[in-house]
Amino acid sequence: MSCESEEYMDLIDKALDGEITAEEQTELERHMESCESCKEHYHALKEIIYEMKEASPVVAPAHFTENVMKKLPEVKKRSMPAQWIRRYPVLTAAAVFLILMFGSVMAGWNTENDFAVHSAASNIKVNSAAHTVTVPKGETVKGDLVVENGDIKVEGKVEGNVVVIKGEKYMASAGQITGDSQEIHEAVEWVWYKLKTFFTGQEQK
Amino acid sequence: MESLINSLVTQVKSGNWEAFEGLVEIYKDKIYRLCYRMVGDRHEAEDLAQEAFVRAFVNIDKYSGSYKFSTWLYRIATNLCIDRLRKKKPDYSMDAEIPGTEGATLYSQVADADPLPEEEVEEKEKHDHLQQEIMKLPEKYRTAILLKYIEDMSLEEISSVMDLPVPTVKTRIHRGREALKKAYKKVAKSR
Ligand SMILES: [Zn+2]
Repeated sequence: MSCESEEYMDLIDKALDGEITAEEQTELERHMESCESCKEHYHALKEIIYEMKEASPVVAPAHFTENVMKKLPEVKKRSMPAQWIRRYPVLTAAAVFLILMFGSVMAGWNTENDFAVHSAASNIKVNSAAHTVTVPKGETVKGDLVVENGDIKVEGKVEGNVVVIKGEKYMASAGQITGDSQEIHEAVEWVWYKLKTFFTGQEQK
Repeated sequence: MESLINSLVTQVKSGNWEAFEGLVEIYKDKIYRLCYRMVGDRHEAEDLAQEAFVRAFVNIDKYSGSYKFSTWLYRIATNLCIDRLRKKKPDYSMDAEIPGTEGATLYSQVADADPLPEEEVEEKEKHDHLQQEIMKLPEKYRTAILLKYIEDMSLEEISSVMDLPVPTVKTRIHRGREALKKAYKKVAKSR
């Protein structure tokens, strides 16, 4: 005598899934007292689940991890950030920064050909057509003076540094510069100058 | 444990591939066991479990961390096993004529071949009665049953691994254990 009741099949599933309510549990138990088929079904399933849970432990073969590590593709390993980046992150960041910086500064050397004067002083003579800057005789220019793509003639006094980029500096006999004076003609010098001003914040615009 | 695993995953992702060793150590038994129960052959299980780890390593950037690493790893492993099972048991008929071979059927080809490895497998695994019964289950029930009762996963986890809704997982577990029961019954009667 087999019991085909869907209701009890569902209850058995619920019981095995741990989702049965106390009421349903009582109902199922009462039914199984009289229904051999449901009782057998329930216990057989329970036994199978028990057996699966108790299944003999299976462990990975010896040297498993070692073999996996050997199998990892070199291509993937190499595509990962190099060891030394992880070990020296600050140094790497500095190197990357310098390379990028160098590149952008070099680009500047090649493309920036406009005449420009950087100075806080108002008593200098600027000739934009001739690309010349003059510090007039008897005048004192306070602060640094930077001339790009032009020449400078110092007849008076500069109390600060003078930098001429891609240009010439002419000193009159009375001319005087209290700070450093520098002419930049080469890309390498230019890069060095830019890096220096970047880090020290010397250049004033 | 979970934080150790996350830390190892992060390390591997940031390029410290040696940290992957820790992850293999933690999961090797579980993944190997799953593969063994799925395919029923130790040698093949080792091959599949190793492949699962290699794939996890290669695709580590694709692991987003929105679910557990183990879930992701189990998914890779079960998919590999299912693929292997499908390749082993092509779903065309044994009597079907093989294209390009005059009059030859798959059946005749198999008959001509060397002693069937299946017999060896059966012989080797005879002691493992449960494994034999598991091997008889259709793969979709087998996966659900194994994850539930051998790997002791929750329905939600199985649902993530199998990429199926929870009710479907539930149905598969019910049907799977039903099928197992029937197989057991037969064995019991024949004894
Ligand atoms: Zn009944």
